[in-house]
Amino acid sequence: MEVFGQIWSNVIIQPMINTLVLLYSLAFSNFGIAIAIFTILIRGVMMPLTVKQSRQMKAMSALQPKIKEIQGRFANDKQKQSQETMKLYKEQGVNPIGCLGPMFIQMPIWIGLYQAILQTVPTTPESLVGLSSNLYHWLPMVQDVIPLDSGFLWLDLARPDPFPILPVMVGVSMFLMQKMTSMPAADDRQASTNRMMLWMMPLMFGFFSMQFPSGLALYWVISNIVGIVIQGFITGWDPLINILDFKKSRTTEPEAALAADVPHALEESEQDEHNTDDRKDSGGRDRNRTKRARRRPRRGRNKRH
Amino acid sequence: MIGHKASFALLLSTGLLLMASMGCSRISNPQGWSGGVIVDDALIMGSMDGQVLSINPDNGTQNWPPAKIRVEEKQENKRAVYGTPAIYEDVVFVASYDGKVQAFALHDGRLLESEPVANEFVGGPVFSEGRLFVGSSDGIMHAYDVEVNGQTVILEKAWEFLADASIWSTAAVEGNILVFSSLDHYVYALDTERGKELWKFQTGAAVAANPVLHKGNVYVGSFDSVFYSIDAFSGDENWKFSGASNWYWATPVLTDKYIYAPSLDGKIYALEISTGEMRWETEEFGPIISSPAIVSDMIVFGSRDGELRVAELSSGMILGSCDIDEKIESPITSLGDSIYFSARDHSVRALIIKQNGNPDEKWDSPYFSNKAEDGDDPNPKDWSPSC
Repeated sequence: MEVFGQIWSNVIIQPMINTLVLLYSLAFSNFGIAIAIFTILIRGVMMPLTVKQSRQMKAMSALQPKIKEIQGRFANDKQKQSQETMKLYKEQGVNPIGCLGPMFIQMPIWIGLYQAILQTVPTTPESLVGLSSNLYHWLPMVQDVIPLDSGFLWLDLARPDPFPILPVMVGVSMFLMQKMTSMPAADDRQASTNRMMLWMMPLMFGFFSMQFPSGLALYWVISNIVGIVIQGFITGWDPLINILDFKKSRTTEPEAALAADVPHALEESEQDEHNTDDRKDSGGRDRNRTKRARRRPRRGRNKRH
Repeated sequence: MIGHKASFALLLSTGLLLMASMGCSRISNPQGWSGGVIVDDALIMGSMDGQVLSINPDNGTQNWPPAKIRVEEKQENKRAVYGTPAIYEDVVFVASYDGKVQAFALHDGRLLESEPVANEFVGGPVFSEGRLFVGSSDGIMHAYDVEVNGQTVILEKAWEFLADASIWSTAAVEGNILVFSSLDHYVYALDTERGKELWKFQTGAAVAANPVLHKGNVYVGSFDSVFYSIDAFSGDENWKFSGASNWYWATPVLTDKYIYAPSLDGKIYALEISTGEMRWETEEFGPIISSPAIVSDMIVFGSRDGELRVAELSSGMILGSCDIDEKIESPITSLGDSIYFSARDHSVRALIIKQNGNPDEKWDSPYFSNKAEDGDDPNPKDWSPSC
């Protein structure tokens, strides 16, 4: 456990602390700006994953009509329905949980950042002593700016926002982010799960923001805004426009998002598929042959049983 | 199907992980690291529980029940004492973390005065000719004239001086020169009479260590990992030592020929007092923020690794040690061959340093301020000695 703690400290916490301190010294000794730059850097590093996630979502959206068709065809056989859906995912090269990758990767960043902020802007003399062992003393400028000023606007970034302003900002930005990234529902159950996620995530993170240092809440707000912008450029702004156009959203949500996304995404997805087939025609056939070859022995094994 | 089930699981696990991380490292509350002062057969010190203690230095029993410092309800999270108390005319003066100067009767611990002065005090008070000096986290060095009439303590402001950042050090006074350090990277010298700045000396980083003023020279280490000797009258640099690899925080101790500077890099550096040339350095232990003590021809120091060590003054060779198994952050107070300090388990401990350098328990058991707080026996009988 101690070894894990040491690895966690060396690989996650210390680089974060020193990056934050360095950014602070470059950002005119403003910790709020340092966190903003840090967030954009993290988002930049995760850009390939975010793009991949968005494309997976697009592909998933494009498959919704086919999934609905499967659900209709095997309405009385849930197992078959599930098998056929998975088969479809496989055939189309879609990983249904692949879009969750960036969220999984962000979790250690959130936890690390929470701990890094607590240590970077110490609230007591004891915690400032602790900071000394996490600093890279060879790094220029790092010693000069210690201890950091944790004030930013009305906030002490080492402590929770005394007003509910930042938690509300976290909640709203998280809601918009969820709206932009939620997948169109193929059935009522999924639609209700989507609705639950749409409200639970903002509420949960809004609640955390009231307990955690406001520096972390600031990270969430900026990260969500950047995420919304990236998502908007990749998959379009329709979900956001639908929210802003209240009248339209009342009549079409969530179907509107699906209707708006699917044909476009399907078209793009089919185009991508077509292009891929053109480029890797023989490869695709080989892959199908391989799949068939894989299935045959499995059937054989089943027969033996 | 898997997608939204996984999303739900992710949502739950995110919440749980974040809650767990919140539990693992909370926004910390101050605990303090007050040192002790021995007067009239009493060891007076602040505790980790925001109390003032008076303990019999011979056997570790309390002279009077711990006196709680007065803290407003909304400032309970600032109940701590960092600076060592000062004694003046049978009154114990404490600068508490919630920004008050508090006065307790030396003989019974009664609270005589609790004066709100600043936002926070980390450094302790110091007296010179009836005047109290204490620096605060809002960057102000305060000077108060103190009058003690029986059970009445009157504090009258003499002057104040504003530095550019927090003052976490306890000031040093020699003659009419008051010297203190600040997190604004400077060491200041003021005239004790009017608070006029005599000089200020710039280091390369924040300075939290208490300066030592000795025979017209100031000795202090900084967060730039450099230890300085400064002329107390002109503010000119005499010499500097750049051999450490981490900050200086603990107060150095000195003899006529050498100054012993502990660093957060876990070493003590013995430097020639007139040239700054290093005579020896110890091997690397845990970070040292606790001021060492000189006992006979040995130096005793504690570190954050929970070990108390005794080194030969002439060579730095470790002669003996004792595993306290708790961080040692308070300054070590010595009287004869005995030393006193507190550890992170809320204990006050006393050890006798033998001639061969081996530390030995002095009391039957340490004094636990948290047990006293709960109404339990502060000197538990079922305690097994650490050394």
